[in-house]
Amino acid sequence: MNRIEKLEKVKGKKLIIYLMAGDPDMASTQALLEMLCTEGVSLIEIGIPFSDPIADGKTIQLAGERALKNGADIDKTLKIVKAVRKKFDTPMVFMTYYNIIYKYGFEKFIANSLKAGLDGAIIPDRPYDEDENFGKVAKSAGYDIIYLTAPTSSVERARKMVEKTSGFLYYILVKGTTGVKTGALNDYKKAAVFKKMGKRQVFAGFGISKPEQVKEVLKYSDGVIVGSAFVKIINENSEDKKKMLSKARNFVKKFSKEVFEYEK
Amino acid sequence: MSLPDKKGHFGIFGGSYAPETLRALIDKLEKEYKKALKDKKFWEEYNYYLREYAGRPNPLYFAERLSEKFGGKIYLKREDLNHTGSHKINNTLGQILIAKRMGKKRIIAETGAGQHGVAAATVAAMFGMKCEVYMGEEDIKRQALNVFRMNILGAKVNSVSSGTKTLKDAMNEAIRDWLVNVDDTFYLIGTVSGFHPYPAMVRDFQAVIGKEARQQILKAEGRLPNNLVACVGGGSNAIGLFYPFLNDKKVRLFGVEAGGLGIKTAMHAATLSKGSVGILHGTKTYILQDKKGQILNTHSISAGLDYPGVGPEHSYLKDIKRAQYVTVTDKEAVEGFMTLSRLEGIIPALESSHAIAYLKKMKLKKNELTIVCLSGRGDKDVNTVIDYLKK
Repeated sequence: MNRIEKLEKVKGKKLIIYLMAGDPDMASTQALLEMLCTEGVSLIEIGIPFSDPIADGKTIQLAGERALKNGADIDKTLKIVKAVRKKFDTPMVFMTYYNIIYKYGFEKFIANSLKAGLDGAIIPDRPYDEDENFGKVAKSAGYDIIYLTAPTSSVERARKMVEKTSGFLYYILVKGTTGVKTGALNDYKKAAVFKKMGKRQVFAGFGISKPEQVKEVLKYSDGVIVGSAFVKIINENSEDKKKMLSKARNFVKKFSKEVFEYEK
Repeated sequence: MSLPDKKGHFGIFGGSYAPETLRALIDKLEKEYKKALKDKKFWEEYNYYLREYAGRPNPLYFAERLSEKFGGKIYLKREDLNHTGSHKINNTLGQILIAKRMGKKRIIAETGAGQHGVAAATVAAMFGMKCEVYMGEEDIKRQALNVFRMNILGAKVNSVSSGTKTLKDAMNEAIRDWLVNVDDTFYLIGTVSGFHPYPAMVRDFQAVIGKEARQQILKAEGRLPNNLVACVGGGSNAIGLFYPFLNDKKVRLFGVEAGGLGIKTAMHAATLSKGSVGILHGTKTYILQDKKGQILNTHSISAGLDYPGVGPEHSYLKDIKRAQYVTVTDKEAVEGFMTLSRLEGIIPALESSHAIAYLKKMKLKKNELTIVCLSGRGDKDVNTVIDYLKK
């Protein structure tokens, strides 16, 4: 059983935090990852910057530009993952665009990921029905590819994704990019529909920036994903590393409280 | 076998690498487009607008003095004479009819040189739809005339300041807009790239160029041409000309890419000549990227060719060696621009000037028959050329 599958056995709701590798620098990314593990976050998504991030709003776009300037890439990030993995068991996945993985070579990507202790990848611009061989190679290696469903997903496609996704199903709460707008309640509810389709845990993200939103989202899903708001906190405090870490920690604590103390 | 396949693949290229949010809409669009393909009424309406509104068919003009200079017999397919001044109207008329059928009220588009933006704004005005055009900050500066035109036509031009501030970033921003406004918006893509079915759909609307040219050359010369020449940025005018000749194996196809300051420098946009396979803007195709898969900055004097990707069908035609892709530098393109202006009294767009400039390199024989796609007129480029010649 891999780490994400183990997470499924853990009772209660889950908190997932996203951060961009290399923003503000690689050393800070490692410190932030260790902080997130210590804080008991359920799963961490690590962004690898891409020059043309079509699914991202301004906050993550800019974080990506900073990270690229800092030279963040797959290999450097895997190195950090490996270091963190020695101390912590928290599941970690990459979230990035397909071209980077394609260029790296997906067999090599999966092999090196597993070696470093990275559990999987979320790739918003590679649907399950393109380059199907990638999905097959990942599956046979025990590497999790997590698919994203959206409020606009047809039941047919959602069924396929529930079947193909490993680890968990990502539910996009809004029509739009990351970190821009708050989702409509009707769109929230669809997470519950996809949850009922299979035994997969459904984690919901896009547009969650405040702890107050958590309760509503958790009514329909198994976990919340917080990205842009966390990236913003890091960026606003990046001048002073100590302050950045403590602000980031406080941010996470507020969400942890809402998520882990959630009762119906 | 006719390409693309069901899922939009041209060999290993193409496909639909789309964010899930867009998928349902893209599927709907595909259905609507397939339905339209078989619907006589749709084509009647489309052809009506091509004829009465865009002014088709346009001439296949025998350029006598150009022929004297470069050899053989050279014909120009006069897309510059279309309403709005380029081939782009062929596609925007087709897509807006599809948008209408889908009940959409708002159009978005990306543009580089502004030719597609103008063509999109034009049809949106005519059909009473709202139109927003995304355009890179750099391109807004160098194609100011077209920005005015779009504004006059009632479109809102959104300046894009992310990334390289050119066409690729405009396309990123248009896709993001579409993600947000997926319920009411139709994305009118200007070239044969993007998610399936766009590469096939845009090709089918641009194929009118080649269909007319084929009939016209047979009428004028009683035989097929030896060469077809067209510039390639995303590649819509080139595919439009090439497509009806693909099965005429003896007709050689030349796609001319932007060589910028030279393809040995980093300052060019010669995607097929210098790129490698990757995924950009929803399709697998040749792209200009570094060894880590980051998309490279491009350069061309011509905003319409300044793009690090290319339509997937061109990638396929390159790999099966059906078409050849060559390059022309900024300097040569400006020479081509001047040559056509002085010899034929036709000021070509800088994009099309690349195709004209390549004639010099072809060493055409006396009995060779060549058709060049004159994809657009050059009014929009006179400032750029004057500045260039001053340097």
